[in-house]
Amino acid sequence: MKEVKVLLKDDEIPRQWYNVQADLPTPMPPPLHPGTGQPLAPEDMARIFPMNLIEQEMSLERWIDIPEEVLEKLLLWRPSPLSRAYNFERILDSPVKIYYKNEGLSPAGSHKPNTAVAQAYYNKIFGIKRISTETGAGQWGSALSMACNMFGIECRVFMVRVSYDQKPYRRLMMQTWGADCFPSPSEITETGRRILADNPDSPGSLGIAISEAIEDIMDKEDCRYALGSVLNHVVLHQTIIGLEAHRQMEKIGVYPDVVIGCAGGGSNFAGLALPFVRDKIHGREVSVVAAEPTSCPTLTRGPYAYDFGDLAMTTPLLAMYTLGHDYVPAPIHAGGLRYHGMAPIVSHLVKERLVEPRAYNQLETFDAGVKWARAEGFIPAPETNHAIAAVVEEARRAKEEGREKTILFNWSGHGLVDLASYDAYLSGKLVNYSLPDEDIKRAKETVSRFPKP
Amino acid sequence: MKRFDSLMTRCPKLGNEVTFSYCRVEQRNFPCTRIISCWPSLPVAAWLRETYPPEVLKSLGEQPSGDRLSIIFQTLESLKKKPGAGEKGGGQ
Repeated sequence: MKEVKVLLKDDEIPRQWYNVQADLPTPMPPPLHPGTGQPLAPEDMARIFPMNLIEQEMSLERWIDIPEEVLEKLLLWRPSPLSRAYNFERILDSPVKIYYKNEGLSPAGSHKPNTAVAQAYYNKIFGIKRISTETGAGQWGSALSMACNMFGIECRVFMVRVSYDQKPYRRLMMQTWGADCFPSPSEITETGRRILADNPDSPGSLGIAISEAIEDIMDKEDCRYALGSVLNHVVLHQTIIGLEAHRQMEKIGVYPDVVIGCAGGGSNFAGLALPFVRDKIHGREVSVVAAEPTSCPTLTRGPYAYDFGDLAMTTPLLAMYTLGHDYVPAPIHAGGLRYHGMAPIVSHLVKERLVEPRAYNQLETFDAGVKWARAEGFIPAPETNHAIAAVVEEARRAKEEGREKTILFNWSGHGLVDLASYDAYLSGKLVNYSLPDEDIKRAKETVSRFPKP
Repeated sequence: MKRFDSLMTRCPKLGNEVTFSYCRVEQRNFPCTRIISCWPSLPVAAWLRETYPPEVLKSLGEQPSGDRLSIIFQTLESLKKKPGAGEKGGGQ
């Protein structure tokens, strides 16, 4: 019988998190305060995060002990299995071995609890009684709700109204774990009340929900805010995924040629990848791939990622987007990179060429996800589908090159609460819309009036 | 642009599907800062230029654009400026 799962015993769970900052060939630039442009100081963060997490945020120590109380909670579902995807390999018909870390087995169904549990614990020992946060579709909100409940902390989640209405199950998960989940804009904060007064039907936005969560904890000594992505300490907590995977692969005498994760905020990708990035820094041959959506090309097109503000500038380049990707001009570096929500560590690793970013459009990711579900059974979260699309591409390349490859990727969460997304895909509502000829003609005419370089 | 309102895409900020009508008003009745990259095949940039004067576009471009840290610290700054704010708080 073929071995499908590689398991670690409870007492083999990693006892320390890995901080890649200790091994970076060049140090990361300090995070800047968006208001002052000066490096962020611990006191800037102290109003929103507990000092013990701020210390982790700033730490350059290579290894940081995982507290026993955190390990006890993580052991409810960790170590997560490393599984071999034999069935998926078969349908890809390519000389690849595919291994994946199944992070969908956590109670909340994703990798998010790895940091939620740690953050709830550090808030608890700092004396915090209530944590507020924002959430979009609810993956983070539900993970934090569960973690706060584990440590007896109150939890308030401001969930963007449009998601609140569309994702009742994640809201119910939060409520089941004892959290208060409010549709944002809400009547709880001044920000929310002001927006509702202007527009009672406001669908909300992530920006509004963040503002509400911050306002909710401001000037309250025993309340803090929590964030489930982007920050260094979040990435740190997620490295338990890669550290486990490293041990599991060692157990079976295998080492990956390619490590893949999906990168939205970057934490699940970094969580799997960083221990292997460490090997790469020390000379080991391994490709590390961050898969992101083409609609949010933070890494793949970072230097050219013009945003809304550029419309007001004299550059005509943005106008080219009106005509679709065929018309995007040759890369031209903008004055400064704008990284929209990606973990700075991941951006830095891309800049150092230790990580290769790749972008996939929504239809190819769902196509890959459906193929996966039909082969391996587990229905992936839509974000996870980006990593699977990268696996598919890597398998195709291996076939073309006639080269055997071992692929490791992070199966970051299940999609059982995201079936509406699958419905949108399967019913053809998600399309890569192409402009009719007359619209292209009209857009060309409009572009012709823009300033020329 | 309203004729595109029912088209649907996956929102990278929220993690669920939204219609184009949401993207048009996401930023407190103004378009989402990511509307251009999320809808590459629609004539969004041309529409924005035709609909909003440069100073409005500039001001919208200066809003936090989905970078959570920027939003967090800009919110913090604005709350600190309120009368009576900042008298309490800090760590333990």
